[in-house]
Amino acid sequence: MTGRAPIDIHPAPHVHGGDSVPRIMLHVVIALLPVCAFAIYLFGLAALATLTVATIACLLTERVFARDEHSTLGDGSALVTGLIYGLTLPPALPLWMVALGGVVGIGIGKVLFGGLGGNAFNPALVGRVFLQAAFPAAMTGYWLAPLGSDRFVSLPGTTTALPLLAPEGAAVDALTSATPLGDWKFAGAETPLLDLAFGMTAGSTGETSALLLMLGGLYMVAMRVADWRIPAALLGSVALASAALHGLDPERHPDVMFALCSGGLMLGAWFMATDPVASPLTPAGAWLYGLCIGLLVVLIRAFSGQPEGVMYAILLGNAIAPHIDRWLQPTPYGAGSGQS
Amino acid sequence: MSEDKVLGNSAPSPQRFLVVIAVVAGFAIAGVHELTRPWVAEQRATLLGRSVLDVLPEAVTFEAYRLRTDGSLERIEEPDAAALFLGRDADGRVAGVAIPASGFGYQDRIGLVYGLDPEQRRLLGMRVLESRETPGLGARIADDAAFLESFVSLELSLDDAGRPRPLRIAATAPAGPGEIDAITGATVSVRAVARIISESLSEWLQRLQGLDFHLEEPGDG
Amino acid sequence: MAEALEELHAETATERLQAGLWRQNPILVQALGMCPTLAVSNTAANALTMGLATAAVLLGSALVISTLRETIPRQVRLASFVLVIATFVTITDMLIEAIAIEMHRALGAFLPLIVANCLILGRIEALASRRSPRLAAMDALGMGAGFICCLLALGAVRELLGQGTLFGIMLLPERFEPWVVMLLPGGGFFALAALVLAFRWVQGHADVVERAR
Repeated sequence: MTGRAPIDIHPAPHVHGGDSVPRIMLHVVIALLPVCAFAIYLFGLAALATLTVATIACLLTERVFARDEHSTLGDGSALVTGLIYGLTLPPALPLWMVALGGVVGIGIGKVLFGGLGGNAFNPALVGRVFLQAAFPAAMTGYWLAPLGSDRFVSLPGTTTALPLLAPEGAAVDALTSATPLGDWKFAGAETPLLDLAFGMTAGSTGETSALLLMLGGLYMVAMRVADWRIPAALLGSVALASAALHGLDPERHPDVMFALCSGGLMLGAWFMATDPVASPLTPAGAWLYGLCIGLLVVLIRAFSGQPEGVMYAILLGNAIAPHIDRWLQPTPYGAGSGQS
Repeated sequence: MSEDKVLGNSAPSPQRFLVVIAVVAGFAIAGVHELTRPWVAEQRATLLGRSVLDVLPEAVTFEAYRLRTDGSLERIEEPDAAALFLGRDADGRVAGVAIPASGFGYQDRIGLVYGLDPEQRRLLGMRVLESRETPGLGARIADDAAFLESFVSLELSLDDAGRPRPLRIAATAPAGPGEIDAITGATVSVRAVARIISESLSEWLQRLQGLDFHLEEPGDG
Repeated sequence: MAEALEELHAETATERLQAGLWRQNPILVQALGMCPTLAVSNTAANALTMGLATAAVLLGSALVISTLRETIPRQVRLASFVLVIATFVTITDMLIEAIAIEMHRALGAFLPLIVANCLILGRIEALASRRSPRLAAMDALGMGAGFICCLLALGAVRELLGQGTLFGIMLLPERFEPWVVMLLPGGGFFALAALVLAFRWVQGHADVVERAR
């Protein structure tokens, strides 16, 4: 595959849908604004710094690597990638790691594949998965307690670690809150559902508030910049699979609402799985793609050593998206099996 | 190009040639094997000895034993996978038993050896011999100083029947009997280590209590 | 076939020696022996041992087979090659265990697997079985050296970023945050890609200079 799948060309007349990359990106940014604002309210300066550095790193990388006439700097796609990437990171992550992941995400995840439209994987997740593999301790431990008292006064000691160096031990010891999924997996403790729904928990910068994320997602669906089938299939399959597991063994597997509202599921389902470049083109493909990701999420959460699996599930979904497109390619009218 | 004669110009019959070359190869391998055998044995013994002495802090020498089916110990010269190692201090007194154990961790088998003082019912130390846990996370079970230190002189927690309770992982600093240190980010691997040792302890602790380790006089080992 | 023709032209011993080091580098150009390249280049010491072991097997097998090239019957040539290679691999394996048992443990199955390294069988089939021992030895030395250099470069980069050390000696500040990914298989792919990129870049510039003359 060269990234440009064979597309059926339908005969004229065509009507322009009015869509353009900047318009789509503008709506995604609008949908993300409440989430970003809430993240800053919840985690304070740390969230602001993380989001700012993530966005600047993505924009600068795009600027440096894509200088010629193919530059997509102005269309807002790098801005969206930067924002989403920042929202997936632990809020107390050292800023130099945030910047490094942004460079990897845009540089390796997007530009090397030929820029916007050519990337097989969601660039924001490529950046995050690189950090997860490179600095697993930081990526699974640098959480902040929600609504910390001095969150608008000072940055966490881990955030300001010098480039390439680990933070002071004391700064790491100050971070103790585990995420709801970690609490469940490693301590068997359940977080109250209201805290989960409104996002009053520790977690990645922008993943905590299930309601705000869903609101943003619904806005994108209403503006027709996201395919509703993908989050529907994804969340539906997570709900069904979690219900089945919970029914079999309530001690080991959390209930449906917990599964839906915890971790990065809402952020991933609405804002990352719907990436129009890395997801299938046909409606049937969208259903299948969402279903695969949802089942993978439950599989990883329930049976792996890791508490969360949305990131890996979406990346694996991205990997099978071109194949889904090939299997479910519609047959042009008249080019059927030759019975006439 | 006269020197560049192509393959097989003056070839003997294929069968005869293969037999000859296989015999020569066999002799070469056997020769090198004989030559290196003492070195390999020495290297293996040092590797094992170092970890055994590591988990038995007071021991200076050790002997390998095997448990007979009747429950008594039998001294063996070539330790196998099921061997126990009895450490002795400079005066020849028993300084604990080193027990190898293994089980599944996060990625693959974890092989370890731990030191046990069966009479005082305490652990003396633990070393990971092989693990393929994630570097930087699970792999820290092999070198996290605080974690390894928490096995030294660790009093075991026993139930009413004198059986050892499973090791627990301390939430903060290890305080009570049978509690080991936690490692942030290595929860699964630490649990695996605790489980491997607990299972091995429930098999060995009571069997080793009251055994006469002076069956064979020290000095010959 | 084009490659085989090119090899016929590079006849002198010096040319053979240089081919392996740069123009036909086994890793950077021919992409041979990728499995050990990616798997055991996680530290400089592992990479160096693996490189030396492979080069030793290559040199030994090339010499023996080149000497016997008129005697080996065509029908069983591959079987004979593998037999000779396997003998050298087994001997190397035993020697490493006798000298450095911990290194032997670290390299694990990849030492015996040298027998399946296509670099060795490839050089023997393409060159050593058709040329004089002198040329075969020079070719093996060049290919072996090229293999060692690349493995060592990969191992050094991965160890330095992955744990801040080189041959176990701490080079970076004590608080350096290790890039764990570099020790994992994924890091092998990253480092190899970066090395090939650098090679192509240098080679591209060299070609431009040459054409300008």
